[in-house]
Order: sequence, then C-alpha cells, then structure tokens
Amino acid sequence: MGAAIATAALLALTACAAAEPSGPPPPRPVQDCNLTMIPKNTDNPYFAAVRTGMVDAQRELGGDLSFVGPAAGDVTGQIQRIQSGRQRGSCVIGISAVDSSAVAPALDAARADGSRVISYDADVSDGSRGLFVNMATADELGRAQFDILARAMGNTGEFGIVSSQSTAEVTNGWIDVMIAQLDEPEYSGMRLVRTSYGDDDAKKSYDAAVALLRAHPNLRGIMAPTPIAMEASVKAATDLGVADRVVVTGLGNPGNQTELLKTGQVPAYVLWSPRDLGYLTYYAAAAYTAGEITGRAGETFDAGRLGSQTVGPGGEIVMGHPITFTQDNVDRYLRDFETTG
Amino acid sequence: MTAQTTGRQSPTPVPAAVRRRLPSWFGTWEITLLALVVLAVALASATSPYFATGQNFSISATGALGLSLMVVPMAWLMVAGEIDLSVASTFALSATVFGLAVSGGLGTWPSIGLGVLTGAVAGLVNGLLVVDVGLPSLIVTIGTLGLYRGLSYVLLENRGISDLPPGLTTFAQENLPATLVPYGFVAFVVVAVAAAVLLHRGALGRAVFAIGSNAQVARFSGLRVGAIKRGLFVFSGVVAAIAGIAYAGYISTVRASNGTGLELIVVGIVLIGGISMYGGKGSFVGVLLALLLVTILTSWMTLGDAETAVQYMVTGLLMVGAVVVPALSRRLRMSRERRRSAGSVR
Amino acid sequence: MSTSDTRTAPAPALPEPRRPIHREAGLGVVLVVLVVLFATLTPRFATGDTFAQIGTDLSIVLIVAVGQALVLFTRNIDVSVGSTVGLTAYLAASLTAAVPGLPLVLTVLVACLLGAALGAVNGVLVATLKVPSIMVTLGTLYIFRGINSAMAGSSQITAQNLPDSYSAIATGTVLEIPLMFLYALAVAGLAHLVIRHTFTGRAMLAVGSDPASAERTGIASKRLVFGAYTVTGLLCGLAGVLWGARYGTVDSSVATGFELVVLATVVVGGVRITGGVGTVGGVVLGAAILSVISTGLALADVSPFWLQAIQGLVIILAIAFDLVLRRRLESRGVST
Repeated sequence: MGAAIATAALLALTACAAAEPSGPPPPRPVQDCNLTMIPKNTDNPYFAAVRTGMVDAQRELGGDLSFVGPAAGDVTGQIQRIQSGRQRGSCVIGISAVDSSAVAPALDAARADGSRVISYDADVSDGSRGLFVNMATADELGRAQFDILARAMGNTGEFGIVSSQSTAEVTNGWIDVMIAQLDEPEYSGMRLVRTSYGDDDAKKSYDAAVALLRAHPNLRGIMAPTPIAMEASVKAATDLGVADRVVVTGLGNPGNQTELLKTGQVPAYVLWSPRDLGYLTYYAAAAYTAGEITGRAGETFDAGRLGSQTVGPGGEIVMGHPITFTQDNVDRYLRDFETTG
Repeated sequence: MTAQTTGRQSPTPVPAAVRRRLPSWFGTWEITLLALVVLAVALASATSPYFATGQNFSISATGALGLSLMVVPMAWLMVAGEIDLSVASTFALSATVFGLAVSGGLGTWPSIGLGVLTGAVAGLVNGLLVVDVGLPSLIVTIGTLGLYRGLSYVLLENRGISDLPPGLTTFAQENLPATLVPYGFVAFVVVAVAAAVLLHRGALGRAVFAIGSNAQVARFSGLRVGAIKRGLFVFSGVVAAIAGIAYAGYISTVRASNGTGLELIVVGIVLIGGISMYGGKGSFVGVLLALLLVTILTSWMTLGDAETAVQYMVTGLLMVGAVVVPALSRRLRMSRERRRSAGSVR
Repeated sequence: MSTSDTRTAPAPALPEPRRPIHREAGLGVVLVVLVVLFATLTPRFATGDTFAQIGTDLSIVLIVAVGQALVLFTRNIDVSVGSTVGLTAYLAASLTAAVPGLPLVLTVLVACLLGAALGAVNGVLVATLKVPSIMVTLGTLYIFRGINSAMAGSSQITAQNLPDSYSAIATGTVLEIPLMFLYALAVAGLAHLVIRHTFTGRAMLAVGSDPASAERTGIASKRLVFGAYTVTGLLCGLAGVLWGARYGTVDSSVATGFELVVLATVVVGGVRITGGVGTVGGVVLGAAILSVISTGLALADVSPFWLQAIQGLVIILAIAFDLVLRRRLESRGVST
C-alpha cells in the first residue's frame, strides 16, 4: 500500500500532461515501423492463416510485425495489446475487434499519441480508425451462406441458427441479412425457428445444436455462420441420426474442414481467403503509414500480388467476394489457409 | 517447543522476537509479497523501456480499476469465511441497469443510483440465502452467478449501449488534469485505505475476523453474526456495481458479457494476498500487495508481447509459489530448529 | 444442528460415517419434481430419447464430480479439473490423430495416466506441504491451461482428423443405454463401494471431518489426500477422452470454466466443501438434477437469452427446497 502511494506521488510529481495531438502524425515508411496487428484470438486457425498473409507482405515490404492478441477473444486482452502498441510507439495498430465500441477508447488514446489505427476482419466504431479492410460486404456474405442453405432445403422448411457469441457484431450482421432474405417471396416457405449461440465453444455449440434438433423435430436445416458451430452441428445431426434430412452449412474453414465437404456432410460452405486478407491489411497499413493514402474515398494503392486497390466510402477497402467452397473446388484453395509459425 | 504441539494451529512459526515487532497486518507473508513486488518492478524496468514510465502507471492503474475495486469486499467476505462468486455477474447486471436507465433518458446520477441499488439488492439476495435460508455461500453464489449474468442477457440480449455520459467516461478513462494519475486510482486509494483501516483497526474488522475464525464462538460472545454477514454481501454487491459501472465507462460500452470470468481472478488475488478460503486469517495489506504484483506482472508481460499461454503459466506459478515457497522454508526452518534443540538437550 | 455453521464437531476416532440418507431422499424428491414439471411443460420430455440424452449429457460431469467429491471429503478442493480435462483431451486427440493405428484402449490408458500425473502434482503439493489446496489448484488451473494453449496454439483437432472408432466411444449404446452413461455409473459405483465399504473410504471422510484426530488415530492422511487428487486427475483424463469423442472439436479452450459446473454438481449433491460429509449417491443425483434442468429447458425451447438466468434460479430453488425438506424431516425426528 505504502509503495503504491509512494509510486503514485512520485509519478504525479514528475508527470506532465500528455501533449494534445495536432493534425495527423507525420508519414513514416513501413521499413522504419513497428506494426501491432491484433487478432480476435490467437488460438484459432483462421487468424493463424491471416498472420501467414501478413508475414508474406512483410517479406516484400519490410517493417516489424507484432502479431499479438489474447488466446481466447476477450475485450480486456485486446485493450491491453492496443495499449502496449501505443506505448512502444507502433506506427500502425491494426485490429479485428471483439467488440466494436469497447476497444474504441483505447484506440482513440493510441491515435492521440501518434499511432495510426486500422481495422480488419471486424470493424470498430466510426471515427476510431482510419481504414477498414473488409473481406467482403456483410450483404454478400449473408446471402452466400443463405443461398447454400435455401438451395439444399429446396426453399422450404424450418431451420435454426447456431451462431458464435450473441454479441458478435459481424455474425449478427450476416444473420440480419439472412432474416431479411426470408421476406423474399421465393423463400416464403422457409421459417427460422430459433437463433442460438455456441460461443465458439465446441461443447456449447454441440449442446445448442442438439437442443435445436430435439425441440424442433421438423427441422430441415442448421445455419452455422462460424466453423466451430458448423463442425458441432454436423456431429449433433449425425449423433441423433438425422443427418440425412437436416442440412448443415454456413461458414467453414478449408484449413481443417475439407473432409466435411468431401464426405458430403456439408454440401458447400462460405469463406474468403484469410491469407489474402492478412496480406492486403499489411499493404494497406504500409500505404497508410507512408502517407500514400489517408482513408479518403477514391484513393488507390498498390497491394502487391492483389494488384491496385481502391479505398471506398467511409475508409473501407473491400477485398472481394465471398468464396463458396465445394468438394470440387476446395483443393485449389488450400494454400490460402496455410498456418505457419 | 515439544514435537507434539507443532500442529496446524501455528501456521507461521515466526521467532518470538520478530513476532512482537511485526504488526498483525504486516507479517512475513506481506514482507515476501513486498519483496516480490520490488523484484518484479526491477526486472520489468530492466527489460522493458516502456515499463517504468508515468504513462504506463496511468494506463495500468486505469485498466485495473474495475478488478481492484471488487477485490476489496471479496477480501472482507473471505476473512469472514464466506465467498461471493457472483461478483462479476453483479458487475454486468448493475452496468446493464445503469446503461438502460441512461438510454431511457434518466440523468447520470439517478442512473448510477439505480445501478448501485441493483448491486445492493443482488448482494442482499445472496446474503439472505446464505444467512437466513442457511445455504453455503459457494453454491448460492454459483447459482446467482448464472442468474445475474442471465438477467443481463435477458435485459440486453445481443445489444450494446455505447452512448454513456461523458462525465463517466472521463472519470474512468482520464487522468487528473495535468498529471498522470487517473481519477479512478484516487477513488480506489480512498476506498482501499478506508477498508484497510476498518478491517485492522475498527471494531467491525475485529468482529469480521472473529466470525471467520469461529462463527459459533462469535455468536456466543454477542456478535450479530447474521447482520454482519448480510451487510458484507450487500457491500460486495454495491462495490461490484460501482466497479461494473466504472468499467462500462472505461470501455464506453455496456454489454451483457462485460467482465465474464472475472470472479476467479478476484478470488485468486485475494488468495495470493494470504487470506484463507476458510476465513479468519490474512491481512488487507497482503491483498493490496497481491493486486499490485498481479497488475505489474500483467503490464510487464503485455509490454513484452508475451502470449496468453505464458501469462497463464506465470500467473499459475505465482499462485503455487505463493504457498509452496513459504511452506518449504517453514519446513526447512523447523527441521533445523528441531535438530538444534535436539543437540542442546544432549 | 445449525445449518449456517459449516464446521463439524470433532469426531471420535474413525466413526461409522454419518449416513445422510435423507439428504439423498430430499434430492430424489427434487429430481422427481423437476422431471414431472418438465414432462408437463413439454410432451417431448418424457421419452426414451430424452433420458438417453440426459444419461449421456451428465456422464462427463459425473465422472469428474466423483473425483471432486473424494477431494472434498478430505477437506480439500480441486479447481484445476477443467484445465486437466482440457489438457488431456488435447493430448489424447492429438495422439490419436498423429498415430492412426493406435488401439483405443491405449489412448484411454495414456490419457488416464497423464491425468493421474497432473493430479499427482496437485496431490504432492497439497498433501506433503499442507498448503491451502484452493491456491495450489487455482495455480495449476492456470498452468495446465497455459501448457494446453502453448501446445495447441492455433491448431484444432476435429472429428474429421479422428477415426470413427474414437467418436464411437461416446455414441455407442448397449441395450439402448448410452455407453457414456455406463462408464459414469461404473465409476460412481466403484467410488461408492470404496467410500461405504472399505477402511480407506471411511478414513477419507474421517480425515475431512477432523484432520487432527484422524492423524492421531494413525490414519495416513497424506497418502489419502494424495490418492484423492491422483484419482481425480485420472478421472479427468478419462473425461478428456470422452470430451473429444463427444464434442468433436478439440482446441486450447476445451472445458474452460468446467470447474464451476463440477463444483455445482458436487455441492448440489450434498457434499460439504468443508470436508467429511457427503455420499457418491448424492453426487449422482446432483448431476442428474443439473442435467435434467438444462435438457428440460432446451427441450422447452426457452430463448437462449433466458437460459442462463433460469438455470441459475432453478439451481438455487433446488438446493433451497432440498434444505427445507431435510429440515422438516429432521424436526419430525426421522433423522438422528
């Protein structure tokens, strides 16, 4: 206690108020930069593939990459990594936000201290970042997943959703798109009976899928917009002996879920290239810190093997379109999911 | 000292001369913790240029506010031989009620009042179930852990509230003008000092220790055991509510998932601080030192880009070391003493 | 006897363990009430499928809870069980994925041995050094999870990487009874026999109800405490294999927070956390009650946002109801 007070007093005496920032920080070439890139969680093959893409770009451009984050996605863990990036004076702090608004104050403080902030994969609140590297629009991603389910169900019947966390904004955005699709006349025969949440935990997702299947005996489909829930839903349907009449689809990761397609347990699923997303994010960060782009719509920058890219409205860079993986095409994409180191 | 009497009733056989000089609230364990704090500070300062800075103090102290506040009542409760595992859920529920009140147009202070009241009621429910119904606090608060967290989800579902009063976000995020001392730190120091003095100098503190040592005896000696325990649970709820609201200000967001899993960290800090799970033992100074130590280590490891795996292992080793090292040294000393006294008799 | 007081009076040397038969009677009534309640709420509840599901669902928890009960009997606690299950689940699954032809029995054996080794670490520290078990095991909770995260990293082992025989451990049935349930019953039955009918079992309870006098009467309390932890670790290893087999995906976060579920099960089952009191039968009923609650609520199609709140409330109501029932029986002089 005494030590704490003494420390505090000492610091209060020697402290001076942080200087208020004036205008954007001066440009710095990426070669002289530390870049802090924070994933939602590190213990996740998807983000390991994102990292692979960032390392690809780093080899081409130079710079010092710190790819750090909490093992399991939590807000406090992300805030701590933002702050350490700020303290070591990272040129760019990039983040895939667990919670768009909760990380905003820490990002704002980092910007005030001279770091540039970009988001990738999952955006943060408006005004707390300069750029957002998006894999594809929420509208396209929601529709692509829904289309697979609707086709497999013949546009009729009951289905349920087993999602990730109930507070996961990106996934909730897709679910909103799917629900909006149900108003289209061609899907009038389809009915969403329940949206439940498996928190990206195998047990909770499995239990949620079992609950759905048992509480709704007429269920014909499960939409699982996250790989762990998809794996768990397939297992639940198989264990309950209803795999032949219940379709499972959603978001899958070819990195470790190609077998689901090859065995026909899942007709098709959606994702994008995480490796390209990491690669593009690193290029965007480099262009941003060098002052080549500022986040205004219409600016263009070179993104290596991905060619020239354009900043869209609201500082958003859309990488491309969702990819629908099937047993016929999945093998062609495997290098997009390599996880090294 | 004969061999027969060295039972488990003397946990720290400090030499009598030392024991007379050391106050009850600053024993060998507190000295050990202080040494560890000094060691951690020295190592962290030597290995990271960003550690021993005013900015790092400000950032770490601001970030630790919610957790630090909750440690205070948990220490009191555990001294009294009870536990409250629902604190992190009360933390979320109170913030939820506060956030809904704010977005419903209620003013800042009435909303805070409502949030704190929620915490008080949540604590009272725990207190009534433990004291008046007679259920063990561990299981009651595992139940209310689910209930209160669940109610937050019922109220907010998947929504978040980010439009919070600027006064609150300033308090929870900023420093006192022209310094690097966060507002929240000042508030915590006030609370902590009051709690420490009351526990170790006041009649209430003596009563809490007596209850924790032996509730039956405390009751016979005229202490209002039930009322005090009920009060401690309400205290726990109120402080968890304040912590939850402050944390919502810190992240500018109220969500039903705020603070999930924090209860184990709170309990862990209190235990590292030397307070027994079965009551009656420990000091508040130890708890504060433990809090300081954990905060320093977290900051150091984060600045060093340590992976979560490493952070977990260091935290775990610290907890195990916190009990194993003193136990080993005690054994060594005892066997040495035994040998010496055996030699002198012959 | 006052119920809010958690301390037991000093027991004479090696007493016949008190048989809180009415504890189990109370829990039995709670269980029946819950089953009737859910059966009236939803017609789908009272079916063979549901009971098979409950039987499977409770088995992993029950296996670990039996171990936890043994530890609690000796007036200690093990909060590292979730991390032990997680680490053994990962090691067992990755071993099976890496060595395709490995006989299943060997996998189970390896997992159990690993679990036992982890439990023995807890046991050595708690038993020989007499340090507070909650500290030691809270510490190993973090250490084991850290090792798990360091080893697993971003990798996930999915059902696709594992042979079909692996998941068959969890999905198989004998005469319509789920295999998992049979494993759990076997574990519980064995533990029951040991506690009720052997000197070791009675000695365990004696150590918990009064460690000092137990030691005076010559009980090797150190060995018993060490044994309780090692057995718990072993059971966690078994649970780890079953976890991977049942839920399909194994990563670094398996069974996070599981310790609270296990503690809830054991304490609802009437085991006292201050040692010396409890029965294995009570633990079985505790596991059944909690599983009936979660399965029943899921079948009743309760909104996921309400699920946690109702579950918490029902746990409190169940233990309160049980307590009131027991007091009523005691005041009528049915109990000693």
